[in-house]
Amino acid sequence: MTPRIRMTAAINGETRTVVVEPRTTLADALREECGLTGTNVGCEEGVCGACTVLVDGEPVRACTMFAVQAHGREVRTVEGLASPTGELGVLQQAFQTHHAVQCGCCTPGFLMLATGAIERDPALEETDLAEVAEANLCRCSGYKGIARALREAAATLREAAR
Amino acid sequence: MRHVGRPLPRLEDRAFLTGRGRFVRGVVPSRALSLALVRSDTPYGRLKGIDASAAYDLPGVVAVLTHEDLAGLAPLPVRFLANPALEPFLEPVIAASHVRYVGEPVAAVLAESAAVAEDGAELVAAEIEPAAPHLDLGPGTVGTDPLHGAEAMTVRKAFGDLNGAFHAADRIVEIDLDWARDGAMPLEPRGVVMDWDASQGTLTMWGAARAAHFARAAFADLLGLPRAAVRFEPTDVGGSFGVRGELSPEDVIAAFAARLLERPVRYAESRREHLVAASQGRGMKARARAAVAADGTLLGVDVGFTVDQGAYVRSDGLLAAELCAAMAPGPYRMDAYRAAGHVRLTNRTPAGGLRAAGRAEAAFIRERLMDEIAAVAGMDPFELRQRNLIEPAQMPADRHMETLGSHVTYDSGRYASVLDATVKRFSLDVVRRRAENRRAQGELVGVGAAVTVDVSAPSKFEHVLLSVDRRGTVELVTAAAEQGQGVRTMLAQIVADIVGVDYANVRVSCGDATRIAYGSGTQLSRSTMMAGTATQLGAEALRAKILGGARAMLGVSGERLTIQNGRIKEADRHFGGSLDLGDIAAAMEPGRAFAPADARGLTVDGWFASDQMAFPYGVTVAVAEIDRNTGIVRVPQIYVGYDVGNAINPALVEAQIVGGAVHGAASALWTSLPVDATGLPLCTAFADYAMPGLAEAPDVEVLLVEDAPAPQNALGMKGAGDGGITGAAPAVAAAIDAAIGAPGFVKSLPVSPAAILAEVRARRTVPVARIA
Repeated sequence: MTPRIRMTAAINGETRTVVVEPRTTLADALREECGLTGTNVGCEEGVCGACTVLVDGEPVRACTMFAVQAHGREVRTVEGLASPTGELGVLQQAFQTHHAVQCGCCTPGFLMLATGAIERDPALEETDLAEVAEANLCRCSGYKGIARALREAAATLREAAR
Repeated sequence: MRHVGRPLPRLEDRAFLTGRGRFVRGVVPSRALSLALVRSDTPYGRLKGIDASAAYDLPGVVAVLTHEDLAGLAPLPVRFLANPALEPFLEPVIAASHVRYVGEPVAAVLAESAAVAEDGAELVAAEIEPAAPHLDLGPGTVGTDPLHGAEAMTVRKAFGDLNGAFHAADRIVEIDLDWARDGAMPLEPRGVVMDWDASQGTLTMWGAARAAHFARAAFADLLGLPRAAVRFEPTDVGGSFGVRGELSPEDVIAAFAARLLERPVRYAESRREHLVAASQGRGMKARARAAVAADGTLLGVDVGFTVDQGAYVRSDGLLAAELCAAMAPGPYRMDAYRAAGHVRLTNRTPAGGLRAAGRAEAAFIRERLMDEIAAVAGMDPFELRQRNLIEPAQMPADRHMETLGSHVTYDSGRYASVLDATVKRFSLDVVRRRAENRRAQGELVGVGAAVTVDVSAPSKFEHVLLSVDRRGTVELVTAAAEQGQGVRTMLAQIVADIVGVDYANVRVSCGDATRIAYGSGTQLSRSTMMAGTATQLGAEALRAKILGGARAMLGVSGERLTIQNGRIKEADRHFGGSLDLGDIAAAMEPGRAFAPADARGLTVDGWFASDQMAFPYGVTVAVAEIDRNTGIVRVPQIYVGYDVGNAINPALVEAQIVGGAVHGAASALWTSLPVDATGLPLCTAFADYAMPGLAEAPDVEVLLVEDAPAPQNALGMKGAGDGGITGAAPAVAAAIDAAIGAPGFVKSLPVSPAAILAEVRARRTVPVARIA
């Protein structure tokens, strides 16, 4: 029998304790143990970025991080992006306005990646944000809507940060 | 508020933006087992035995199924153009005597968790005696295996006097082309969940709804069940592009196991499996010849091509070969045409659906041929195309062929005007001149074009249900599958305008193969056109029924009533009686005071039947910049002008075109699924597959025109799904030719930087001094 490890992390602001195998990825722990299925899995090898979450504020591919590595750390997923009353944030709203969502599989990863980048530097230029977004893949959109949404969100947030 | 024709935000988005999308991996019935497959690692060989004892020793492994357990199951049936002649070539649910491709299922492990199932699969030993695989597109050696290198079928189409055309020609132009294997490659790998309810004898399936009705019927046949005992629950789908939701061996094994073990079964494909087991596409060689008059007029075209079908014929049948043969003539006039498409079995992953199946290949063949003619005749490639376009007065244009059960008659089109409009809108004359100037400065920059006609298949019919509840919410139930294209939003927009409600108040249940008895799938850009027309007809009936009820309730004549924002009132009166849609629905419920004559409450059906295809069309223009030192191509810009007749939601149509154009450019430049000389796949991780990111993706600009509505449906809609992808590869190919000044250079896709570099170096003008 594979050994199992108890681990605790603050997930979207809530302390969660789960029991996982050492080999369980953070993505699987979030999806299967915490029921947070918004973190999609596209390749399980760190290439597509669909599973990007924030660990202590840094964007991380949840498929290539073991769940136990998140022990004692703060994890944020797409489920935690909207306000508690359900209002969409600036990035989410921009994705809707600019038709940046098609099948929705890559969407959570792009949102978390961009959230991490913007929180690190609220004065991020549009071009810098586009550069960050190169890390993730989308098959549907050809990136046009995503690029537009990121540009608008970066501009709005930069304005707000002033 | 008017809805149709406006780029409204999608109703689908909120779930995805908040992480509430319900993809198949998120469907977890209690007591579910996980399925993992043991797959062949050998391209071809005899399967001599399977030893599963070590897997059974692993705690948590519940069952290991092999051919012995699944022997009673028929091979997977064909969905498009089923033909008894294809039966010998169909894919078995699991390998029996032979394995014929890397990735073919040989055993199935069912366990308490996905991790244990994968561990168990690694412990299953399959003894395979390797034999020489058939990997080229020539005939195979005759042996004991009738599938080895066999030609599954030849697709033939023809019209006119081809010999006459070639005799009359002033010039005969010939090209040889090939296009490597590539894939649909949706971001979410495939998956399915099956549950068997032994009390009712019901199989419930969760997954992609693209072919849900076919799947219901197929499971009923395969498992010996009435169709009513197969229920379908559509999930969100992480991209389709032709590959999701086609019946697959994994689906059947999961269903069989769920019934056998009386527990739900989950299957979630890994990316590695997807790269070797999911259907692939393109993979073809072609030779095309054109008979041309001295002035560049096309007289006849003769196309021969061979499709790498891989190991078996799958549910998609011979779709790519069929549509390549039918659509190769494209937008051009010609007196005579002949196509022969050979479908060759090889020991590679079976071919199947891939966005613009057959049409992309047809466009590549035809548009490369046009470029070659232009080069040989010394004509401008734009002008040559314009000269040969079918004219509006020739519409509807009978192409004297049949495909997919319909006659190929281009319904409507103003081809020259979409070219003109696109040139004007994007100042393409300036774009070309700028490229010429940069070439004169020594840069390698070129512009290339492709003109395409696509087909929106009617597949005969579509049926929807509409109803209104006491809250005034309109429900639309359709078989059309939502797979990222936003069909839910577009259908809601159609309902909203006709019934007189806000589109957010229309709840659309997509892919509902259980409540809609008959459906023919979401493919070939048909859903908005066909389900949209059924919706339009249903919504008109619903409106009439609402007004009938309102008339009775208000005691006024129907003509004076309007419905706005879900309220019904007299059109010319600001005051006085008005009714809420929900109140009318309540009053009209069966058995209540204002129940309609048919006693069915505020429910209606919408049916639309047609076997007339619609033919959207357009032009794609690509700019290519090549690095002289590396041969690496950058495509900064693609311009697409496209006519879909009536864009219900222009933003969503544009999104289809942009995404498709990037997919097509990627397939021309970067992505393929090669094997080595022994047949082993070289692309087995996502890192090996060069899908473009935001930096590499061309910026695609789209001009939508609505010059030629489809006469087949009242709203004039034509499909938009493949408008971007079809012309992208030939336009990029032509742009590369132009950039390096080598007409006809790109014959093989994807075109590698090494090949470009070699060509650039071979063409470099050697300074005179050095020769001396």
